[in-house]
Amino acid sequence: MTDDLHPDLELASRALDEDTTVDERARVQASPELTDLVEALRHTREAVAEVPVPAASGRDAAIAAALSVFDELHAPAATPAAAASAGTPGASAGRVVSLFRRRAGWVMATAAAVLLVGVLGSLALNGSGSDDSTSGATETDQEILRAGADTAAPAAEDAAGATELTDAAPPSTISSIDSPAVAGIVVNDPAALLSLADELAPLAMTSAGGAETLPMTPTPDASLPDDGGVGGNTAGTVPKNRIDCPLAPDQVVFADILWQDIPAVGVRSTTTGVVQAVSYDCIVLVTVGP
Amino acid sequence: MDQLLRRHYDRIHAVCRRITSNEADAADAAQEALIAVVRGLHRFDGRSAFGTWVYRVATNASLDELRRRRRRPLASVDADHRREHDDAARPTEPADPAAERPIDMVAERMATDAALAGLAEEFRVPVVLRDVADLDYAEIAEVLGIPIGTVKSRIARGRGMLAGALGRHGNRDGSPGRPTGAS
Repeated sequence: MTDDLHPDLELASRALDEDTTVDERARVQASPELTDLVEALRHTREAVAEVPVPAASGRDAAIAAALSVFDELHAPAATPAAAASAGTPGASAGRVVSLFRRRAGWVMATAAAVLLVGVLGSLALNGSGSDDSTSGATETDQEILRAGADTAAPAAEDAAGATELTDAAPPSTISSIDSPAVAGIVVNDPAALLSLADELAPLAMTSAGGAETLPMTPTPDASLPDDGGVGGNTAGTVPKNRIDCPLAPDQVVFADILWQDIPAVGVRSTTTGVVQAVSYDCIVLVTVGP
Repeated sequence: MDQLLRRHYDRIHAVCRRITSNEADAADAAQEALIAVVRGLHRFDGRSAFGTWVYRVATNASLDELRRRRRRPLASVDADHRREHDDAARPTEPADPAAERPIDMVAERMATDAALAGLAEEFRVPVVLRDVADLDYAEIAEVLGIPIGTVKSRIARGRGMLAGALGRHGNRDGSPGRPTGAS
């Protein structure tokens, strides 16, 4: 059926796709007939590639249907058992860590403690002042103290808590994680994920206390190449408090990432060195050996 | 997840549209593909690019839709096709901005649809994955489970037959080609 096709059709087709050797390219360029054939295929390709835009209603309906299935599948994923069945790393350990909520709690406790120390210090220094100044300062400080106590109480209760971060949190560290829009580091291949883990996991490990104190989402570095590896582009945003997965005791989270367009966190085992990208719904997207 | 699906929907739909050659089947296949992506996300192992995996899912959904179509009475397929082309030509239809283009553009699109529909599946699918999904030869080989050499050959033959059917010379004598029959 296709015997009457041009004998150099495959060469022309590969030339269109820029999949030719230097010699082949020269041969195509030297032949008007082949050049014409490449152009004909180019026009054909353009016609095929021009696809009618789908109706918005169809798009919305399809996405709604898929999200409905997603919700059905992942509604129970918050429980350890369900997450384990989804293949979550270290599920057998049964340690459920509300990672980012813990981070929030840690920040809140630290911020509240700093605030309390500052206020108490201020009170002590002002203790010998005049009544007027003392009363004025005390009134203000007591408001701060109450605010600090209100903030510290739930934070001290722990962590698991659903406390929201306030402006008191250190802006350069954990606060960025629970801010409404957080940049994820774009990682598209296993080697890049390993490299990122090598770079960031030691930093995480030196933060005393393991996973709960790891919390730093590195600021994307514009100096890094955007070559599909560990890059500096900040595509995508992530929701708040979005991960609640069981982790093994030796697993630490070292970064928020976008693994091939999927918002996720990078996790590394401190014993085996195995690195994984885990989506917010506790799905292991990729596992990379040390 | 919503963001992820929205990011990929249009290209999934485009692949489905070109493989199934009609809008109704494409919409069904694209929806099935999205659901399959959601269901199979935990099986995505990261060995291939996410886009490649998604197009594999979309391709399979489209081929499933074609198989279902074959089981339907032929008249309904013809009716679908006619309805689609009627819709494309109707100036007040808002779904497709291209419907407002000059009539020759619509005619060209119909010709492309017909040429693709007339191409055997084994040629149509690799051409669509290359020219619509923009996958490279290796990725297409991975999606279809065939050697790269076969991918190159099928794409070349598919393009040649399409060029012939569209009145562009892809044949030895420059005459319109002969599609190998509907899949």
